[in-house]
Amino acid sequence: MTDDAAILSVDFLVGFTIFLVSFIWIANLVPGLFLGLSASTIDYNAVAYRTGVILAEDPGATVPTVFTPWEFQTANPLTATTGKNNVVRFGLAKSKSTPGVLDLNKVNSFFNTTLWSYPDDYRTRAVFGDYPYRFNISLRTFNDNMTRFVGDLIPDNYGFIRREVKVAGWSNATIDQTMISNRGYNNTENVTFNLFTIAINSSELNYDNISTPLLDPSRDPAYRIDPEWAEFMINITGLDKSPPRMAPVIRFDDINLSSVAFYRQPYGSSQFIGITPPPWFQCRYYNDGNSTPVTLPVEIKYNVSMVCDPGFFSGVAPDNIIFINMTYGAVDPTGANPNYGIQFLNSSSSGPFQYDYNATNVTQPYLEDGVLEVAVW
Amino acid sequence: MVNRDAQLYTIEGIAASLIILLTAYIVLNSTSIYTPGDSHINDMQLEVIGSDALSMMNTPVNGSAGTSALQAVIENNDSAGFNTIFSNILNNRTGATPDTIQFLANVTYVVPAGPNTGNVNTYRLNASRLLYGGEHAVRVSQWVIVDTYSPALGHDIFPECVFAQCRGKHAALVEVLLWRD
Amino acid sequence: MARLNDDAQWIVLMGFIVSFSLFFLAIVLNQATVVGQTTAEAVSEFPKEDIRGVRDVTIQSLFLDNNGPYTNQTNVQNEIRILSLNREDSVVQFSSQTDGTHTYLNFHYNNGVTAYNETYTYP
Repeated sequence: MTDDAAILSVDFLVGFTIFLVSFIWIANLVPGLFLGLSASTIDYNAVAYRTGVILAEDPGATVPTVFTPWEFQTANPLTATTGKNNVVRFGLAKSKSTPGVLDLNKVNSFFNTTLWSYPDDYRTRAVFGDYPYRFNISLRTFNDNMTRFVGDLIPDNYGFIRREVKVAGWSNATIDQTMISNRGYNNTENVTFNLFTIAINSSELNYDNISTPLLDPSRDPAYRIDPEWAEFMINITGLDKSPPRMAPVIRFDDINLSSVAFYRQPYGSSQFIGITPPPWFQCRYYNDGNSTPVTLPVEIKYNVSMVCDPGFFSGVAPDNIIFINMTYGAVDPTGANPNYGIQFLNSSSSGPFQYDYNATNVTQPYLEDGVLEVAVW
Repeated sequence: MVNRDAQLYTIEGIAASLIILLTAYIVLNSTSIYTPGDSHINDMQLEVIGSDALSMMNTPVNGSAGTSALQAVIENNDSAGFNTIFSNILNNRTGATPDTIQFLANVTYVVPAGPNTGNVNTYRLNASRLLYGGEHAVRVSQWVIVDTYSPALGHDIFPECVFAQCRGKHAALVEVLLWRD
Repeated sequence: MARLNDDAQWIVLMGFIVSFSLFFLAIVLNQATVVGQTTAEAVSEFPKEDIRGVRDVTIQSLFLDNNGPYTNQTNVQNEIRILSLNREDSVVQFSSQTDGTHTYLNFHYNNGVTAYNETYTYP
């Protein structure tokens, strides 16, 4: 029969007390055990939020010794590796003071998966963290209905954030027949070639107010045209309708765009210095609606477009004036036939075409709606 | 000398404890625990979407536009316009199907004239549907400066101003409650 | 010494082991709750969009005119202070001065948890 007297001996009590006290002390140290454990699943939403903020609200960063924007570090194919290493952090915002407005150059560079490799390049520059997160970042724009993405297919359990953004596009200038005749971009002098000049006043573009009256200067960077890093597009249309030098005209000859030269004029000086851009930035010319660029000289029937890459004028100081001189031939190949009109575009008497913030001259950059989604797992 | 009378009890106790531990481990490992703290994550995501949508609606589309879509909607008292624009931006997704976020928007302002001058008052701008009470909503807000006299309407947009004719620019706060059904 | 009755020692010990392991699991659950809450709460607690919004509208108010029959700038700036206190539970105080070429805005924001001070210079 068992003895149920329930008398505890003293040494049992002492032993048990020591055991309990030490157990309580060790139990208090248990939370410290979890410091080393990275519970990555709880983190996903936080990492997605942080990546969303870095992409949508930050313009990105390079190493302190470099001053060109991060998206142009890899423009030179010869120094692509050091260029990639110069980029410390990705960021798509156009500037720090306009969060949510994205720059098209940065967007194009970020989603260029032939340039940046998934996942390593993105992890060290956008996602961060010790744990090797996988992610999918996608941007959909609604004007051109395009969806860009980088990353894997999304699994079932992931952290997520969605940012509504606006993507700032490029400006362009269209010089049509009305403008040519109203502003007198043609004259009746007898010359061997015609020079049409487009002036891009960098100090005006960089420092002038964008809206009058002045509304909110902290928002101006969203609408600013940066001469060094923006794409320029100049369309000249209606060339088959230019007013004839003499009437009556039955047929117009093709206009001959023989060359385009680029000059800059330093602030306060009157000399013109030639611009030689690096070979990886180009201006392309498209005539009469063809989609492949042509080399000059070229014969044009109806219209010509000149598209200059972002960064083409990147060597020009911010207070200079850039001049684009387009030289048009004035040769009449049919001899002295009075029924053929001669095409020309000449700004010598009217002054150069100003590429500025005037909406009648230039179609200003338009902010299109977009959605940026970041999924992390 | 060891007494073997309680050995069966002991072995039964060990077996029972092992079964309990194993069961607890399997049960807890197979489900994800939705802790009360996790609801803050959904709130945070909804708040980010909502404040982004309002902020984008308050950005003019180009430098010469002058006023943003939000200012135009308030100055013209165009609540249907607010619904169209805001609902679109709010529910846009990169995939094909749009989201289903509901909203309730109010405009809060300081009464500029009349007997209640200086008081803060609110009027309804638009709502995708009214609140029934069970919704877990987050609040986002956006400041605007509006011209209170609307030439198109012929009167002021603030209710107290219809007869008192308080013109000029005034600050208003657009507050929106957002929830998912 | 009388021999102790240690028949139940194993049962008691096993009982303690089971209860301690349940206690351990309870700590794990408790820590999981707290971690999830504070991560997202920290984001919601910081009034980033509030500060941005009231700062932007204050800068916009600097460029309103104060002439004519409607004292736009004074009205708008008063309303910003009133609405900020009333609806955003935050105290906003600002003053601007100009020295001819530059305009300076001293901006203070305090919502009880976060304080923000800035001097904005234009141009």
